[in-house]
Amino acid sequence: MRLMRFVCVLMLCLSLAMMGTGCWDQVELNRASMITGLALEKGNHMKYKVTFEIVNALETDPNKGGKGGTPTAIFTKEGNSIAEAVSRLNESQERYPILAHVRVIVIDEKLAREGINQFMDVLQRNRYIREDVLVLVGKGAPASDFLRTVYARGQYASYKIQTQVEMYRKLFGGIPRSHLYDVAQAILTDGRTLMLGAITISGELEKSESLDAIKTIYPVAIVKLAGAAVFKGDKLIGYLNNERTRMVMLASDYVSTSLFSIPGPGGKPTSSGAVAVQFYHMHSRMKVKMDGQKPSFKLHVEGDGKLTSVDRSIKLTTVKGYEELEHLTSNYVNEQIQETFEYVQKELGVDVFGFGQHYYRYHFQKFKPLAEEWDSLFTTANLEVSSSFTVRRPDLKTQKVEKDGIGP
Amino acid sequence: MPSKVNLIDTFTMQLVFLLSTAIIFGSPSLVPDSWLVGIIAFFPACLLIVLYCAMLSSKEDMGLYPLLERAWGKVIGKMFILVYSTYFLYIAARNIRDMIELIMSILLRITPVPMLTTLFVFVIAYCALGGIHAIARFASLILWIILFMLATLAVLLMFSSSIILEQMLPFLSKGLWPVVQTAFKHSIWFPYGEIIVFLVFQPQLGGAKRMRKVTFYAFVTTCIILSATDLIQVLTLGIENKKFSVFALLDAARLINIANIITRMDALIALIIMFGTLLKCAIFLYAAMVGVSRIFKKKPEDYAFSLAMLAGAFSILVTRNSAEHVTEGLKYVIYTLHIPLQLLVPLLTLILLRIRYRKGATT
Repeated sequence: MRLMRFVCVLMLCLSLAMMGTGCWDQVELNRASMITGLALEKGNHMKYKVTFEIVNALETDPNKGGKGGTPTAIFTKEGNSIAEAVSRLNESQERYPILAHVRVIVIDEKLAREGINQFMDVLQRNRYIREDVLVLVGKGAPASDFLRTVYARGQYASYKIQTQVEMYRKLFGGIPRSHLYDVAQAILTDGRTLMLGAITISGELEKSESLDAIKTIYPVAIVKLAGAAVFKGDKLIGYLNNERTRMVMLASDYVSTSLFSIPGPGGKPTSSGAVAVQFYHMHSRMKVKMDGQKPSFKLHVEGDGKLTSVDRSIKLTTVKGYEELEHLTSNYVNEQIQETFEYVQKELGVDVFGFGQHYYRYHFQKFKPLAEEWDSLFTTANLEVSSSFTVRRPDLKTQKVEKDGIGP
Repeated sequence: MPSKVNLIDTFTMQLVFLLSTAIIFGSPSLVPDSWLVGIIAFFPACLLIVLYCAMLSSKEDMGLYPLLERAWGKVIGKMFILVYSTYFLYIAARNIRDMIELIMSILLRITPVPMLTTLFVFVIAYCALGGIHAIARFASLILWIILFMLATLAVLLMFSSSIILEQMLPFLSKGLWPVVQTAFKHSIWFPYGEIIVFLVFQPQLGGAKRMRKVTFYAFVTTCIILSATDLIQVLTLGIENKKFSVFALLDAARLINIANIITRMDALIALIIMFGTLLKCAIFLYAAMVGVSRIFKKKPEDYAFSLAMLAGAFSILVTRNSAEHVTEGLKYVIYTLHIPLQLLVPLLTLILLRIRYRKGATT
């Protein structure tokens, strides 16, 4: 019996030791470093140059504050594949690199022009990189520069860029949703064009790498959002500015909140008397059909919202006033979408709106023979835009505050 | 006369058994509209119930092993019992491997596989030691965990607006025929056909009368839940993207993101498969134990740990990499094991039983 007991105790101890096998790959927090941003460029000696933004956790603590050091450290490694560069990161730094908190992946313009699908696999396959990581294209500056801009709030560059992109997309819609997951979707889905967010830098970058840059009241250099980078297949072919990007995203039903500023009478965008309307729940529907050899698209946009500012006298106590506002908005949006459509047809020649995708999803048998030549068909197509906007309420004033005759 | 397992416990046991690994791997993504495969496979799968019940009722609900002996005679019958025991053990090994593949991919990446497998098979063996009653009661616990996790998953995906209805289109882009083909080639045999293991326990589960009803309900529920999970996978990952996923449900769970707070819900999936596999393997192991003990004339409990270790070793040795594992599962196992042992042998047994024991005739 005593032997039995001894064996049992031994087994229990052993089983406790066995439990520890789950900790085989554990890393202490102070032996690990979080990579928060990646910038991918063409290498000088090898295929790729990868720049890592590694966060210095002590400096980004919002409660205690740092000791005045930089919030991040930037390391650059070259490799013939992205994975190689990552695994060689320890040539430069001492800790275990954790990829799970990557927020932004910036792809260099030159690399993007050669095609991005040659290296996307490592990002999609990795179990730690999240599917909603932002993949952006750095326009007009080397990709690594975007991670080098320090920002007054003491946060690291990629956090700022991520929040900025998401907030901008939510409030204005001028940048495509460019999550890692969207890249795979766009490349796999017929009739859809890959669009990624484009970012650019304004200001003097050389000064911005030092912490002195945030001791001035205006940021020395700042990362700005520059609309969309448009791809053909997986190769970058051009850009759309913020305004046009917003119209494209609106047409493909990605924008639900945005503000339209309708220029005043006079025909010029600068003429006085502008009206601004804010819409909250916007939706768009498209219809695609073939008119002989030419596709013809129909787009309907609808939304409801409120008046934000009106610089001319439109009375909002009458229904007529609202009708006028809605009419103005409708015309404006229709015109803008039409203009964007023609611009895209002429300058880019790819179906960024996703009409092809719609045709592919809903009329697969008809789409199948056209799949190869869809983009060239797209450039010959004509679009009919209609919209119905409803302005619900005027906020706090019934009309523009101005004197209307003598007396109250 | 052994005491019978509660009706509801029987149902939950069969349901969890059918769901456990199928829920992760889903219908194989061989055709775009994979969610339809499960629905189509359901109808022919019901014929299997008819076959098994006919087999049982032809000789007063004896259970699979005695039936085999009665039909084929002592020697050939014993051989078949051995074949079935090995078959059950092999499926258990395959399921352990399925789970290990997932665990190795997402949770414990460096822990040596033999270590994990050994620990896991000990738990399975312990579970099987309790006999069918304990397993059945354990099943109702697991069922709630699985259903709760799945519901959470669906709700969270909905709230992170990852479910896009448009992504299940184009519907039937390759036509209906490949879908039907896949249903007949794969989904009938896995998971539905594996229900044959419950024939072993029929004396405790209540025989043909009960099985007909309970298993049918279990099949219906499985069909609904599996199609729903398949549909969730298609709606979140997109019909084009799904076939690139090794674990489609896991990839769907990774898309959960609610206000940047609720993210990385992969652990839910790992829990589902761990509990499910535990129960499924315990059932297979117990069936193998019963079969072996019938031949070598010892108590089933004596074989628990040794057979469990054997299943664990099988699971590692049986294939070298995951591609081999999957091809073997989708191709060779179906033709060389599933179809003969789930359909042909029971069918022949039934015919033999009908011939040898005509109504009223005694031997």
